[in-house]
Amino acid sequence: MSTTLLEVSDITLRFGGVTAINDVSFSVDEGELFAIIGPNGAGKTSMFNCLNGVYRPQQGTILLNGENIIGYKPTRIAKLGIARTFQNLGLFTNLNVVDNLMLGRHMHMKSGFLSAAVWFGRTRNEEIAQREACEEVMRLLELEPYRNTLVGLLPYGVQKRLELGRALAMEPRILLLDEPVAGMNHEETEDMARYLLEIRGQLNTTMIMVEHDMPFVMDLADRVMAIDFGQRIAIGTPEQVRTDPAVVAAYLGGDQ
Amino acid sequence: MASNRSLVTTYADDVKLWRTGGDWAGLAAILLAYLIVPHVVTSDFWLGILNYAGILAIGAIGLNLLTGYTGQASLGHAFFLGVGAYTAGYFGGQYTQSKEFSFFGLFSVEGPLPMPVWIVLAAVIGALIGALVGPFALRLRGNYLAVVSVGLVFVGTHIFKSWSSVTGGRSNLQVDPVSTIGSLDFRDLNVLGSQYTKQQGMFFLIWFMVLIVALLSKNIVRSRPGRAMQAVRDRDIAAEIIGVDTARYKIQAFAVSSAIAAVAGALMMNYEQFASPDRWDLFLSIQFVAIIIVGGVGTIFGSIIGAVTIWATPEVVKWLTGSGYMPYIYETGGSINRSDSAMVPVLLGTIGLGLVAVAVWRWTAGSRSVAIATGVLGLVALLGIPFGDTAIIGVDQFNGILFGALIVLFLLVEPRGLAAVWIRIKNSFRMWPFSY
Ligand SMILES: Nc1ncnc2c1ncn2[C@@H]1O[C@H](COP(=O)(O)OP(=O)(O)O)[C@@H](O)[C@H]1O
Ligand SMILES: [Mg+2]
Repeated sequence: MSTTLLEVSDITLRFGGVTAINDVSFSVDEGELFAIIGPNGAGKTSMFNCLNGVYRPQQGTILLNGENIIGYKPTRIAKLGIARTFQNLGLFTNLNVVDNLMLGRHMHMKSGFLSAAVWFGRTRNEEIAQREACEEVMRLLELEPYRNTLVGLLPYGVQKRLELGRALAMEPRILLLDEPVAGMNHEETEDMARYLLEIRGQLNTTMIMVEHDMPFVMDLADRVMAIDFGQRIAIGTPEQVRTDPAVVAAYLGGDQ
Repeated sequence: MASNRSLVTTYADDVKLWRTGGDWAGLAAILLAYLIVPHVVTSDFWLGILNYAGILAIGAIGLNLLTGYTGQASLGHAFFLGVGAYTAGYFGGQYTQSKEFSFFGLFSVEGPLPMPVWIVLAAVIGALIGALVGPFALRLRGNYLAVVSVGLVFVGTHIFKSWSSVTGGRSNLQVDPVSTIGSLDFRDLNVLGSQYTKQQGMFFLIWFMVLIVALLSKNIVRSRPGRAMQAVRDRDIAAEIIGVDTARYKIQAFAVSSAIAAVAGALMMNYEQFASPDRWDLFLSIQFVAIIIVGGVGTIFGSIIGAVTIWATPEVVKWLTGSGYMPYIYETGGSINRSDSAMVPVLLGTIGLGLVAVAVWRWTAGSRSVAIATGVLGLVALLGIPFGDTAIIGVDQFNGILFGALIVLFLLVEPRGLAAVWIRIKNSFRMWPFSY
């Protein structure tokens, strides 16, 4: 049997009078691909922001491998192995592809200002060694042709892929993907599905994915949780959730 | 050696600073210029301009690390130059022969201290004060930081005026920091039987420091800490979630920037041999901001060409005015009617006709607004020929306007500064003759 990697219990997050997340619980197993669905404004992105420490929920616990990470700073949570992509892209657009990936390796590197200024020795060796890790990511996601391209100049679909690459470069235990195929055409969506399958196959990374594209979710996810107005309305296998009356109602009543 | 950056084969090649033949040629050109310039440009006037610009270039590299690479605007830079200057004066000053420095009671040494020591001390003290002030300044974001950092300059000036045992206070400080490394005395340089003037010696010292600071800074920005700084600048939340401690990098960048500013200040003290507390004022800070805007925000090289441009332009205008070549402009304190030089109408005619030619060319190329702007300027120059010896503006006023105009021009037309212009020119030659 698989072991539980992430256990989220009774999370409530409020912004003034708005309750973005209302008493939501779920758990994710090691190696699982867990999907969160729900209409716009349901609280999916807010949940990700709680998981990696950008927001601090007023109530509840988040156990990562048994350790409650609520109140930890985002950098500390990153070190514990939670990586993420953003719904609206969070790339460093003035840097090129390699530099963005190298920033994914930041935690695995040591050079400070002094050794960097000297360059020869530690920093040079580290740059070369970590470059190889980035090359591997580029190979996996077929980003090699863009190696030295400024990120701001890349097509949207490639930027989405690169952001996945930067998260992968962190060698995370859990990968949070916020709408990885939003705004992509059919072909790009199929490519993304292929990459996610390859990542699972090769690295067995645990993933939590927020996505609106239903066929995409149904194809890939092991389990699905549906939320609406901050509340969990269903959880189970894709088939169970798709046919759940509350989910059907939320999607017919909502804007999706 | 790969001849082209897109044809690199190994990562070891890829992380090299000088990769292509063109890169090496560039390095060779820089080193040659370093050795040749003081032999060709022997006049104290022109060398003086280059030397002062070199000191500004070092300070500008420091500000660019903070503002250009980390995205933290600061108008407090001048304060750290002051810190460095007085550090150099205090530890390296030769008018304080009998001074004894005790370091935390651990050991004591007889002053004045050698040049490499006072330069390093300036950097260390600059960094420490920067790291101390940084956490307060950097709690603020963007424009607030810029406004509050102004306070640093005023508080600094006050401290410099009050702490007269170190700074000379209101009566100013005249010192002569030790300017020798081994047997090389940069104020009175004699190498391989050649005797150099003070300005020539200073050129070798100052521009050596420019190259060193530029190289160290380039190494920082192309590796882990520099990438982290740029991540903080571009998207701080994304930086945090990949494990970049944004608060820490802001403070460290502030400390490094202050250290470099202090080195520039120390060299300034060594060069001018004199410092008044009002020297480290807001205008000096603004000058550094202007330098990185004109040179290129977020580039090391731009800091250097920006410094030369911002410092040399008004000096050249002054020189042209003094020599009677500038229409409409009179020397401050000089007479309004210049000696009538035949150069003025010739100059106005050449410039005017040139601008009109450019206007016609741009008009036919379809860029009407540029054509109109250059056309108007050209006509003004041509119409000025009969009035060429009637000056209407003082050179200092003119330079003030020019300073502002340069900043506005670059912010509007090329926000990435001269460095971007340079790269465009270089790229058009890179693939030559296979440009397509
Ligand atoms: N920083 C914030 N401040 C105030 N309200 C917020 C903030 N972030 C999210 N919300 C609110 O929380 C709710 C959930 O938003 P979000 O998590 O972005 O939804 P989803 O990703 O499911 O579309 C929305 O009503 C949104 O307006
Ligand atoms: Mg969202």
